[in-house]
Amino acid sequence: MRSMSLSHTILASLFWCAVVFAFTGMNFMKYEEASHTLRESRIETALTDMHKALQVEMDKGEALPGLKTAEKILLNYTRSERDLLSAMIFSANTGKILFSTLVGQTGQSAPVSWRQKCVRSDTVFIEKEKDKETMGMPLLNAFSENTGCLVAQYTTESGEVVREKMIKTTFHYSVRLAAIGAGFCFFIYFFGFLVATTFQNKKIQLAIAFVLCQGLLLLALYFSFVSMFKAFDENIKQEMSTKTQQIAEQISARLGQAVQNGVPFDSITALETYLDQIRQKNKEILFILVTDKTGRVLYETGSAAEAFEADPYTGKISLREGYYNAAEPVNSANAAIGWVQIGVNERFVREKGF
Amino acid sequence: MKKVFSLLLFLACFPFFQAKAAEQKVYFVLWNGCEEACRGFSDYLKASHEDIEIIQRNLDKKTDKIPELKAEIRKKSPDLLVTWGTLATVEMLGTNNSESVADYGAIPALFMVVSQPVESGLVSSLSAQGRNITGVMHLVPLVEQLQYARQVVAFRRLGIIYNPAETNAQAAVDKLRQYASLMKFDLLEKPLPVSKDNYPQKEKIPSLVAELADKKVDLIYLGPDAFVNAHRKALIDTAAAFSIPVFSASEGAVRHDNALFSFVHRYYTVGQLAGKKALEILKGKAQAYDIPIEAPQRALLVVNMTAAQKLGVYPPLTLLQHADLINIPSSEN
Repeated sequence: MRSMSLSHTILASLFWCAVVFAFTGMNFMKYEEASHTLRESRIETALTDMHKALQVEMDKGEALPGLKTAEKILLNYTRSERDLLSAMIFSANTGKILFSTLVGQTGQSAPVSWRQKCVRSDTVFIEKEKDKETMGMPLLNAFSENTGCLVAQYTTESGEVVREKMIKTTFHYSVRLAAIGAGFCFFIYFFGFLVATTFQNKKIQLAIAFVLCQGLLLLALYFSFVSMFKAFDENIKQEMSTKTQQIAEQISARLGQAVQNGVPFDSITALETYLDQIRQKNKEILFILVTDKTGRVLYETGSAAEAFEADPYTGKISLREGYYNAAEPVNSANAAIGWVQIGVNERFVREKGF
Repeated sequence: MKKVFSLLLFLACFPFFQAKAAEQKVYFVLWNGCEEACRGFSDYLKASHEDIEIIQRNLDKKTDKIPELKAEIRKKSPDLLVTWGTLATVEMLGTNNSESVADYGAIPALFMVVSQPVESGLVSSLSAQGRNITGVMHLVPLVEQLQYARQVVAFRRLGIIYNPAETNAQAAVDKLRQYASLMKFDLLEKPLPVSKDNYPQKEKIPSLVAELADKKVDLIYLGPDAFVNAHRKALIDTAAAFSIPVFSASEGAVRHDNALFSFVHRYYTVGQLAGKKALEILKGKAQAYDIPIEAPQRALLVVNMTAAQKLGVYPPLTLLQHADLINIPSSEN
């Protein structure tokens, strides 16, 4: 066997580095997109909820400019969503801001770009600026006439923090994987050199080289890639847990409200359908459970069993690795009556993308 | 001196500026004062910032002023005539047959809060009216009411008690018969018996409910029936004693008499939609006969939570979220 020449070794190393950088770059894009989608869908959920609440208030028999509960609805959501800077409603007729969570903004004119974009009832418009984004959707009255627009402005700061972390992770693992690959090429180079000068039996020489190459390559790649994915998963964990917590809070608020309105907690009709709609919309959610105070499951959607494992020695049940669980109490009349439990697959980006 | 004279001249002219007549006039005939639909209509026109004067005339639930109003309309010649309610509309505009049709020349007309304009004889159809009038209905179409009701109570047997002498009530029963086969439910009809003097017997209502209970109806529909609605309390209370929920075409039965639920269009919204149609006519965008007669598109579910608790029947959470919940029981109960 001819040993690998130095120029071939350098070329192979460079090729490996290019492949590694491309792969980690792709990975970065995938996770960055997922992180962005998680944040955006969280804001969109808050916006859609506000939108529904406002439309119901209008259907109850009030025109948008005279909507007494509008400000309260806007304030409720702005308080519960950490990235929301402000929420406002402007009139489709005059373009003036009717309600806003920001002091002094009411009565001012909404930007022309918002008025132009906020027209289609089935779409949410998004406008991006340097450190904040604006999302809006039209408010239709009961006869589908565009009467105004609900706009939410939110900071992209937390997204930037995640992005920076991801860039660091990408760079770290690109260098690490490139170094492993390059080291491996040089190892083969020196190994070939060593075998050519030391071993005389060519069969043994080839077999040893093959086994070593395969084994080392697979092991190095496996461990590096696993730790890289873990690091990326870790980066979006915060976004995921914030969103999950927000969903849990929303479900809990709805249930609490229903109970407050006289529906018994264990007789909420078609709750599973509602929970299932949420699960279908948020692919990272594996299961949603609603339990009573004692932990007895009253309503369930998804496959909770998949996320739990029993200890073979103690029999204790706990969440498997890679699954996250958010819990939120359901309150009625200032007392806890149960819990909303949401299980999330932390590896959903990886599983979906690769 | 010259300055003082100019000022006096300006002030003398001021009343003329003030008295400038509105560009267009709307003559609005109300049945019982300006309520929610009237408010919605006026608010809509006001929000448009168009120079429109609304001349309101109230009938005070009586028809004796009608000839006087008709004469005034011919004299004032408004750009649009607006009427509120079936009775005022039929009296002011006449029915579709040539004998009773009112003649106001080219003045277009718009009605609101009329439940069944075709059955009332106002127009020949909702989209091809045959007259220069359009309008807004306030009732949610029966088929939609039934579809929504199915989400609240998955009924297979629907009961109805009605006054066969009333056109609206009979029309609703006819429609129910059509939908029963399409939506695969059994309709159990109980027409109110009539006394010797041709008057429906209200005292028979509880026994008719009992008959429906015997036939194991899942739900009773309280339709657009003036007589049964006037005596609905007996119907709803007896149905509750048999644990049968009642759903109503109008909100009043839910709000005041413990019917379980209804799907409605709020009058304010009805008035707003009428306002939109009025603007289309006044701004020359369309002729009244080109504008279809319709109801608002999005209905509101109104649920009486006290009745729900007594019956143990609760609408699904997805509907509850978008409903107007009334008579909420206190938490101590």
